[in-house]
Amino acid sequence: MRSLLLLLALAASAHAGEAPSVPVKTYTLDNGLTVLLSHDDRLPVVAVEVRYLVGSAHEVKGRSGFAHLFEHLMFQGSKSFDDEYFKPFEPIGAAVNGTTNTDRTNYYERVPANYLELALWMESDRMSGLLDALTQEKLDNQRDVVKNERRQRYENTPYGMVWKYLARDLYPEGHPYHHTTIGSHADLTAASLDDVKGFFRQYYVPANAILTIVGDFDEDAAELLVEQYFGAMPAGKRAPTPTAEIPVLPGPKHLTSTDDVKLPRVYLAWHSPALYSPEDAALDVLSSILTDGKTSRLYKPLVYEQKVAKDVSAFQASRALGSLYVVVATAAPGQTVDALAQALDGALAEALSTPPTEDELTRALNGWRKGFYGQVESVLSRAQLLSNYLHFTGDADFLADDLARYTDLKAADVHAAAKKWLVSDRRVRIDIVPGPQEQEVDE
Amino acid sequence: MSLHPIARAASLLALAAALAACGAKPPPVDRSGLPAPQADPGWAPPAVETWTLANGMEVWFLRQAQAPLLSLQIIFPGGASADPPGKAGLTSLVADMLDEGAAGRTSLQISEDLQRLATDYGASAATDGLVVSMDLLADKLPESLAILKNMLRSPDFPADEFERRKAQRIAAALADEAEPGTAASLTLRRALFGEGYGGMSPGGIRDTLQGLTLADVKAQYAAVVQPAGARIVVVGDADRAAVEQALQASFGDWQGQPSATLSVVAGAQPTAAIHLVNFPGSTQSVVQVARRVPGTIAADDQLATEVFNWTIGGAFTSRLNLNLREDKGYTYGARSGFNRWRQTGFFSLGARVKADTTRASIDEILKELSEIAGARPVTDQERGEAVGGMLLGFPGDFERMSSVAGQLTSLILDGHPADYLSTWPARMGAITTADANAMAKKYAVGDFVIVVVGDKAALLPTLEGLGLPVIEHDGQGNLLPVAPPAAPPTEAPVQQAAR
Repeated sequence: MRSLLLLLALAASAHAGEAPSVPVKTYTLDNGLTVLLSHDDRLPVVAVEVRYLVGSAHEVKGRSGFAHLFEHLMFQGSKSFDDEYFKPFEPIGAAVNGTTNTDRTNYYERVPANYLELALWMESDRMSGLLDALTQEKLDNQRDVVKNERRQRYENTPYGMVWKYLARDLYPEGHPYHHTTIGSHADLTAASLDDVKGFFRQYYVPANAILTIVGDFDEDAAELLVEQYFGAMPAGKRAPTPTAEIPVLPGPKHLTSTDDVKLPRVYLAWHSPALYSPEDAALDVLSSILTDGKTSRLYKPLVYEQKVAKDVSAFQASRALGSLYVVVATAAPGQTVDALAQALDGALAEALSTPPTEDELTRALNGWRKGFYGQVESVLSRAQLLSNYLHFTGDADFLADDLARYTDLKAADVHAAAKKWLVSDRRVRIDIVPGPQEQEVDE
Repeated sequence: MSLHPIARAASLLALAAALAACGAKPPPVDRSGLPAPQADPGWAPPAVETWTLANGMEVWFLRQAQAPLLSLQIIFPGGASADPPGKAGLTSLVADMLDEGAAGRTSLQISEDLQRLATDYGASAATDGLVVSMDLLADKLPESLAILKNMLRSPDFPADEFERRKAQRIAAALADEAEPGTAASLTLRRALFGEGYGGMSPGGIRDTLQGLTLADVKAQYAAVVQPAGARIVVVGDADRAAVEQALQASFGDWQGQPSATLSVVAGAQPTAAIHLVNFPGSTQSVVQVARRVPGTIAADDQLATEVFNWTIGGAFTSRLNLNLREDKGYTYGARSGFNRWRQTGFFSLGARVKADTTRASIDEILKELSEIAGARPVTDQERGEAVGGMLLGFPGDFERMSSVAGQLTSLILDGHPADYLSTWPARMGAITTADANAMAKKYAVGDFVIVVVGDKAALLPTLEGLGLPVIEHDGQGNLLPVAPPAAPPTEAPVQQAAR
């Protein structure tokens, strides 16, 4: 068996450096709209993504959650199609949605290849004519919907409120990441039609957007359609990106909150390097070494051997202005939160004391390498990946470089990043224990 | 390879191309109506190839070369329906135990062996089958199968690993009891199917998991994980000959018959009632309105029900979601669906709604049911949107190999033939408005059970007006005692069917 394993390890390392081949073309219209095209005719489908360079980090005080509430209004009709945005798309089997995070808002549809023009018609109509169809009634309705989204995904999901606590306790007042993307009930209530109009005029302009088309289309024809539908809009201005240093916590913080849960849970969180920086990949690989597989450095002692934890996971939550590194462990039944936290601290100190072994690094990198194929398998996920590259690195043709961020890592790089960022006196620990949830007043 | 020629319709596109050729700017967009599509390129799904190994195991293979990946699934019939009475979750625990030591390799060694290959492995019990799956790099098939062969044919079932996995199952079940959606799902099954087939979550609940023993696991493994009747699904970038050879080498000489007794459907459709799970202080309630429907073996109306369902609650623009979300703002989303297993199934409509709109939401759901079966039947336009949406969305279902493999596994679990996807477009296209309305008359009527998970004290006064009995369940779906006992409540819940 030993010789077989050696053979497997060698075979796996032979893959190093290979990246899925994805063609990319980018250009800019006269009005500043950035266009990204990537052709792929394996299936008769095409994905369109329109990304606006605005997220919750751009929100002003008293309007937390507004970028996301605004995203909902983009599905409520526009000047020449004042109806549900989904209506022309569901009868053609399209996959349609929008998402908002701290750094950007994106809208997308995957349509049959022969319906590309419909997607461009609809996206351009709302980019140019949202306000012509906006009403107070639509705003009030979607405000209710978003508050229900908050209730569903945060208030009534076990441990769901922790994301609010992490934002509040890791970032100082005034930092763009101090609040969550979903926002507060009070701020959602305060949002007005004038807010919507001002936000649209500032951020929803061609110069502040990236249009991405991926899939089965004729490149020349698509370029003509893009010019036709988007080229005549007034440019507007590229909105400034919020700037902020990665905060340095003055010392360790420890907070406890109650929630409607059955088992206590401990969250440890640190500030960590920004999306696409070299250390960002090193911390991704660290996560694999800490919690992927039964022999990983935290799973094995906590879940497999001591059985003090029901589960443990670690991840780098990558963002443009600086990321969070989070370790989460849930207590096994009968274990106290303090027993869990103590065991977690011990296991983490041990895990970070030595660099990954060559075998640990090989196993982790094999998983990341395979994962890249999964990221480009569908036209929608590929569109979002490529526009992420363009938005955050300035280079849409970044796939091979992105893979190399991982495959070039040495054990010492992973260890150095862990030692630099996961410092025990610059972290926030949040315990969630069973008890009635601390609820904010709604309206 | 292009699967189809890009057709060129006489449209704006052609005009724009002509103008561009002479260097002019294209004309302004005509926004008086939505643009027409180009010609339909025409597309048919790749055919599923089938063959049998020397031992009779049937293989379904679909070649898809868009990435150097393979997805492999093996389906052993029975699944959770093979759990003996009172032992819900046993087949799931068998699935958990397959990678906990095999042919002398320990649990930890197997975990690392798979990671070195970058092969993702999983095993779980569905209602009608135990499913083992691997997602792997295409050139790692023989090595991955060598590991899988040991896990399926020579599991060691170490006692200490069993105790650990059992404790993990119980902990996961306990944690889930705080999740309102899970509590609703467990209660819905118990309310509709009691202790019979389909009544329990395949993973079991704490009460049934506690009693499971290692001897139970070994016996259930021998009864369920056998080659006779098992099927293998392979999707991805590989030559058929190589797949045939690798599968034959790992499984071709494997012999054995399954022997589990399958549970059967208990009783009939229950009478209308409200089934309540108390989540004190909840700002939102989970509402599910449901009734039984025939299972996949008996049903000959599955495509027509999909059209009916799309209209009432299967799509974003369905009646239910436009009403509860886009008109009333009660919820983040409302949906309906037909959930069928082999022997039975259910049709449910539901949403997570703001707590003080719980009763109003139930009323609206009941109103939509009554209207579609009566005054507001499915229209020709709605039928066209539903059929169009399903047919034109079809190619998009073939993008990810693991999801294609999952679709084929679902067909096997439900007892459909290997050419199901090839014949599906023509069969779906033939569903008429009258067919959809026949389903409305059949399934939007009769007794519905209503599951509500939320704040009991606040909800009870509003629910009483429905004139239905209120039956209370705990977070595991168990019935709570009907009348409060004089003594403090015991920890053991009453286990009986909700009838």
